Amino acid sequence: MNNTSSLKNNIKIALIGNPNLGKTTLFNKLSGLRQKTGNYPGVTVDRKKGKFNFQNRSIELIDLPGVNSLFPKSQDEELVLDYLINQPDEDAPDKILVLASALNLKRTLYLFDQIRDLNIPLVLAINMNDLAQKRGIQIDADKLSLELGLPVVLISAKKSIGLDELKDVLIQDVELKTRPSHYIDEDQLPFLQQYCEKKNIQNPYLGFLKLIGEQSDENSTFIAENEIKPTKWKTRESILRYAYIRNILPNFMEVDKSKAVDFTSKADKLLVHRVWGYVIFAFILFAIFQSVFVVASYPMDWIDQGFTYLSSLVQSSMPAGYFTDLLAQGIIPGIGGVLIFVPQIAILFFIFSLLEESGYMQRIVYLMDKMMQRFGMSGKSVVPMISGWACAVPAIMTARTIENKKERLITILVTPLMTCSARIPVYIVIIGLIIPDDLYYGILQAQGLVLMLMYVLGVAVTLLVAMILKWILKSDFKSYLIIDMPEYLMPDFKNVFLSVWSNVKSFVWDAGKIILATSIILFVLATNGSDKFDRSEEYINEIHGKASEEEKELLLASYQLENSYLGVMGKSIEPAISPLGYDWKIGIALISSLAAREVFVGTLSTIYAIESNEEMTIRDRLKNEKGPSGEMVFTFATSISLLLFYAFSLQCFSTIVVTFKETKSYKWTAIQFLYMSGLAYFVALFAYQLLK
Amino acid sequence: MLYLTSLEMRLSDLTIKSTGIITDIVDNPVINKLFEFGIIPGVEFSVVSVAPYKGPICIQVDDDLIALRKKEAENIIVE
Repeated sequence: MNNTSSLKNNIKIALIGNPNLGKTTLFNKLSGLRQKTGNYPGVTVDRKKGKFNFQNRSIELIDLPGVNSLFPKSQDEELVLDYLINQPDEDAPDKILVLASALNLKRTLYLFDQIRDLNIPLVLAINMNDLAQKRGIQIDADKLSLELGLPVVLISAKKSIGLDELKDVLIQDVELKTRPSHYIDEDQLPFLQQYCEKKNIQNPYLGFLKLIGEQSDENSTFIAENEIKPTKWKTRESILRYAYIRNILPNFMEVDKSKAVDFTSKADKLLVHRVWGYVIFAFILFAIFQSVFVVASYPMDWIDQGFTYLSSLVQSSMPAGYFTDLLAQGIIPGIGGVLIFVPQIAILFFIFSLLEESGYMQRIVYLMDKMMQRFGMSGKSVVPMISGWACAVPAIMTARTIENKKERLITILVTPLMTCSARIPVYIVIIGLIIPDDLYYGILQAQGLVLMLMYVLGVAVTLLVAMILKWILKSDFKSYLIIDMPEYLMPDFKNVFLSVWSNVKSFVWDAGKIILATSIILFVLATNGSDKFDRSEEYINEIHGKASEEEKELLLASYQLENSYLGVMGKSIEPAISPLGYDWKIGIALISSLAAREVFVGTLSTIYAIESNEEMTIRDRLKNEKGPSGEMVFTFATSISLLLFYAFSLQCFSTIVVTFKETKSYKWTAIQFLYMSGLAYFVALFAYQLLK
Repeated sequence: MLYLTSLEMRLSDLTIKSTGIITDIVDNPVINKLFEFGIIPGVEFSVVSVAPYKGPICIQVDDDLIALRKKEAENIIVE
């Protein structure tokens, strides 16, 4: 391994640090909007890359997940270790930027101290220096730099203090001297050297990590032969490193004991109080709901009406023909169906990123841990569960921070049962069918109340399934919870904005592609068919020759749909879904929403738009829908059955993909899909048969 | 044996606002995690809060607030 970074024009720098230190803030400040790959709320997953230029040099910054040490306990930590030790890799960094915190220098230097022993060129940045100064902590960067033998920069990422100095240091060469291995007891050192020679490993600490971390026959034999105790090595490493850090700390850090009264400990008296803590948490949940339903409903109405208007405008102003129909009845409602989610998604991600940035998310973990353990999960599962109200995809990814494999698996399996924002339009349309707009219980609007019930149902079933899984799954892993409660900090609005922006963007693109493609395919399938479809005009004239022109047109439309390719598909699954109270048209909507449940409403509106040329809102169309003998299609029983079906079924291709990515298991991906589909089918069946 | 161990005070026995010094940590599967969080013999601490129904306990070590479950706290011997 070379100890100097050559004077290249492109420098690759890996950013490493403990979680909750403002690593993402620093990354965003350095690379601005020039980032690749989307990020998900709160945690940094995958390798996020950013680029910036400084003094004619191009710098590529690789953001690694926040970790506490190089001993992998969670998947994030495994990822970082793997990246650091499995070199060379085309992504191997020229230099590592380690971020520590001035607020708890001792602990954050621990990770630095481990990485230092890998002898990769290194720069240390100490964040939150401004806050530390306010709290009476003075750090002398020059003395620390001298002590460590490498560049040290004091920064405040949030306030952009010291960033130019940091960039300046980043493009300069760093020469590291090999230092004594102070992480191992002297009597054990010969064994380590022996192992490194045998495996031809240059760097002794790399050898140390491989010997105690990698599971291989060779390692086991070596450990047995030399009577090495890997656990002891780890323990001694921690104690020795902390001793080293505590020893050097007074050389460059002074703490003024008369620091100002600490805001965090004051706030925590209330926020993690055994009674008030829960009251405040409940209030915050309530506020999330209010903003999602009340605030978001206005822009959603504008979007809905805007697209209905646009459709009718296109229909009336463009020359009549297949292309105009495709645009007005297929593509425009399709795009509208995507954009209508944007307000809710933006609001949810805005709130989550506020909670995460402020440090409150960790308090939720603390408050909820005991309760979640009863359901086989950890306090950390609350974050994925709440995120599940926005979207199960990022939610499942945030489960990575859960160290215990069983708790993590349960969390992944049940999170899609939480009422995600894609279910909202389905619920709103169906609830609108069975409950009048103007029905109030006191000041509570009945529709809103039913919607809230659906959320409660989602949470209840999530917990119930989790509890069942807790009983079924065996656990060989010890569950524990040791977390850091970070300082309360004012959220950085640039970060919040970036998080909202990247999530909305990825939703509009990723979900949008599926929804738009589905609506075009649907339109084509609905407006084409085999023989019967082609001869439909003759047939209508023959049978209903005496009907008025208007009636004929309506009859023709519905006959055509029934005999289109789409109609045939819907009819073919009718036997399976009629016990649930659905006709073939709902069947079409079910098929088309297999990949994304939010397509349901769009499909119904496309189907009924094809049938009638009047521009109506979706709900009015559904209310007017009649079966073959004139009975209402969307009865109370059918509507309830549909609500329950959509509450439990896993109609989301993205969720299936992300579950597979996160569990790396076909088995669990299949189990999740099957248990949810089964639950949806039988609960809907039971409800319909009971209510009809 | 039982009464011997009961002579030692464990972090899990403490109530809110108590302070002390960590004297020893019983070997356990997550001992390294405790070290990583700066919970090592010799440091001072204070109990900031205890979650209800035997929930986690939140302590201040140096300037860090750290929350851990009762089960983990049982391994930490204090005085």
